[in-house]
Amino acid sequence: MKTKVQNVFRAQFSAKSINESWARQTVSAFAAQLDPEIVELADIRTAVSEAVTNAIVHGYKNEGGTVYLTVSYTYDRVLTIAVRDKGCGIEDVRAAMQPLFTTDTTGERGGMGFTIMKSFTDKLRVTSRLGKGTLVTMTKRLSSGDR
Amino acid sequence: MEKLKCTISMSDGVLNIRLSGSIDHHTVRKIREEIDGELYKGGVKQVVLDFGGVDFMDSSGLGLILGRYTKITDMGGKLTLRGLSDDIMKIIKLSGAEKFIPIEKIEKKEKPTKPDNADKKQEDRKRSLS
Repeated sequence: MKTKVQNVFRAQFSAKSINESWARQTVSAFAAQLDPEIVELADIRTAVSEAVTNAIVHGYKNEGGTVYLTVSYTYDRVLTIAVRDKGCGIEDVRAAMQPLFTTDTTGERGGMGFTIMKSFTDKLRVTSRLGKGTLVTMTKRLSSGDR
Repeated sequence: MEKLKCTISMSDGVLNIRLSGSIDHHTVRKIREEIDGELYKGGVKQVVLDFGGVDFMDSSGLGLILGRYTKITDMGGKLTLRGLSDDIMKIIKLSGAEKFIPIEKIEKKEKPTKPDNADKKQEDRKRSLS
């Protein structure tokens, strides 16, 4: 049974790389309300950075657009982060989620974005439609606050 | 700290590059060009990439490392990584790059498990209860 959402925020911002640090810091500040471990916050920042970068670089191909960010947490400390773009979409989501998969030909991107998102959160779900966009949803249960 | 800076020095064919700040897709481009500019000047036998001042890195940093590794080895040189935090190491291990790129070990410092202001928050809580 799903636990009720305790708090939520929604934001939308230009798909510009300068906003990557703003996005991860904003989500980190929101998650910090739950007083998580430092390592959990670091994982969240990295996962958000990967998802937002994917939206900007792959979803919108660095040509601009809007990134939609929704973050919430439940009473039992499950954080959900959703990053959506209305860009080009992913042709084969399963292939894109394989480690080292990249469409980059310069050798400067490692193709580890989805692998990092998956390993730094508890659950990663990616839904995409060609020409319509991509929604990346990550959930992470934060450790108990009774420390 | 959000901006990414690098301090470069060369001595006896060893190019020392100390990075400080945050490495992401936005910040990495300028640094990549700066490093490659130094490499193309020639005479580099070894490159030491020092992450001691880096407070954040995502897969863009991994791309920086792997891209430089390819360039440097193609030029007949060696790449060594230095000053990797546990967070950065976690990303490198996901790619398996630690198996072929030498990494200098750093002395471990005791790390707090809670954010910097956690103690203050606890103090505030105690005060509000009393």
